[in-house]
Amino acid sequence: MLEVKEMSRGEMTALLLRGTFGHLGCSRDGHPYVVPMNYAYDSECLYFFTTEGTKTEYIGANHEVCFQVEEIADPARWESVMVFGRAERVAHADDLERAMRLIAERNPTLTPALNRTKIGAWTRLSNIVVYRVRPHSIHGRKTA
Amino acid sequence: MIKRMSADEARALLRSQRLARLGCVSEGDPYVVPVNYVFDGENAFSHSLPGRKIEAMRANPRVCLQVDEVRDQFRWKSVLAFGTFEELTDPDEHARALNLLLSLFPRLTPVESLIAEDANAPAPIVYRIRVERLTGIREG
Repeated sequence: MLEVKEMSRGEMTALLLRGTFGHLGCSRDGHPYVVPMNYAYDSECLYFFTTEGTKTEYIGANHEVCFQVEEIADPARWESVMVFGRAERVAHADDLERAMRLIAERNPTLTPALNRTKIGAWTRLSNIVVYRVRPHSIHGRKTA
Repeated sequence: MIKRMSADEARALLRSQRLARLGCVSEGDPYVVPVNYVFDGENAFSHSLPGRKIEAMRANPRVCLQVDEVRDQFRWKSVLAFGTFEELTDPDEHARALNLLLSLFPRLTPVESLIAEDANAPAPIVYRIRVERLTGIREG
């Protein structure tokens, strides 16, 4: 039998720090929406970016999101963590730079080489929106 | 360059995969969990022990299943299927679907699936998601 148990806080933080890719869930008017997404976690907040579109509309209507990250070695060995929190747009230039740097470090092929001036121009030109999620709860399960 | 997938392509990806993220709405807010499933072209079948996602779907049957195939950051496909949760309560339907699921997933994956051989486990809930709308995008 496959035994599943709750993960400790330390195990969940470690998984979120190791990961670079997860699934974002949003909901609006009782309708769910799920998309794959790169992210970065700094032990306190989770960051992701997207372009203006369906996701920003959903998040605009309901800021509460669920971000799910998993590691599956095989069907009998896996870990899965869910982060619940409010997604807030990162607006301040310094915060934006820090968040984009963090995401770029974790996902080196994803973003062009960024410096301070480029980040501002690039995010404006590409209609990029950066979100920060400060978790109000985190849950995780793993196989024993 | 990100492209929209055709309905046939999206359906084919949903058929070919066995692991999805189920999105549902729990007390107004989103809830996402990995699930094993099988898609027959119209319905996706899955099973679960009682818990928060089952409670959520009983209260609000609007759900989505997200499936992806990611080779790397420039070559990937992602499909989103929107549909309605329906619990299988008819004993024949329940048994047929559960047997199919257990034959495909003997060791079971990211669901709380203690079910198989455990005589003391609560009866598994078997459900289908009647897929009403499919969208897909791909790159590479």
